Amino acid sequence: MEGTEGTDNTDHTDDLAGNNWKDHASGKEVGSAQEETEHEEEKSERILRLPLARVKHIMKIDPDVHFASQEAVFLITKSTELFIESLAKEAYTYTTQGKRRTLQKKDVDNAIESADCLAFLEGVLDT
Amino acid sequence: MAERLEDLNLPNTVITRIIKEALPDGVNIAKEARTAFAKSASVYILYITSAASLVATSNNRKTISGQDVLQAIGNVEFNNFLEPLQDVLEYFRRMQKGKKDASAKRKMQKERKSEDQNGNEVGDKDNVMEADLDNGLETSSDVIYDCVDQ
Repeated sequence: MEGTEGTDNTDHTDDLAGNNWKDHASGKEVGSAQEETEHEEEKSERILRLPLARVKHIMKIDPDVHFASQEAVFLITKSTELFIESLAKEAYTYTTQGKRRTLQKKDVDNAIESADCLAFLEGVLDT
Repeated sequence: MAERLEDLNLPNTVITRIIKEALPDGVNIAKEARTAFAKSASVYILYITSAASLVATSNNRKTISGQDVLQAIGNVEFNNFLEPLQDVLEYFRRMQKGKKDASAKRKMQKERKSEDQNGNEVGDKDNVMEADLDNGLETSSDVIYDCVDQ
């Protein structure tokens, strides 16, 4: 599988802060593709953590969305997991800057302000 | 259709687990922060769904496909997700194919029984399934939900 080979030199799976994302490219979830036949049943449980049904529910909020393929829902669910990881790592850089062991909401706020691709979250957490 | 508020949120336990596994051991997550992550994740889903929906519409399609989602993710500059997603997609497709083959097999076995009784041709069952997919009709194996409110 070509995908898993992207873990070596030219690894472009960096998180928002530019940290290397090798773990994700090699994939805890995907793991060693070579042994997949042995562990396929285990992996089928681990490949997705978030529940597809809940993600579907949220997607339904959009009035313009009518049909989505299984693949689409699957990819959106999986990318949401990746998003959470990414946001967590970004927020954590502020936690360490503040020399703390507890990640606080303000760390998430700072992460949102600092990354362009997180601009869609601006104002969302203000309540 | 009444939506319960809880249904619109992702399970906090799962979100917390994802966060903890992304960070070094021993890091705590404040309660307010957990809520922030849950909210952000829900908004992300809407964001990507909307972006993917746009891609589908621009291609004159009503059904959002996996490719639309990947393109949307690239459009909103989460490019670092694309490689891991491709990996996982391969795996998902293989799993789906396995399920489809199993159910097609079951269908053929059913047809064989009725062929014996009616003397009819089994026919190209596989092609009929594919035609349904081409026409964008929902089949139990492909489109799994209809967003339109009932």
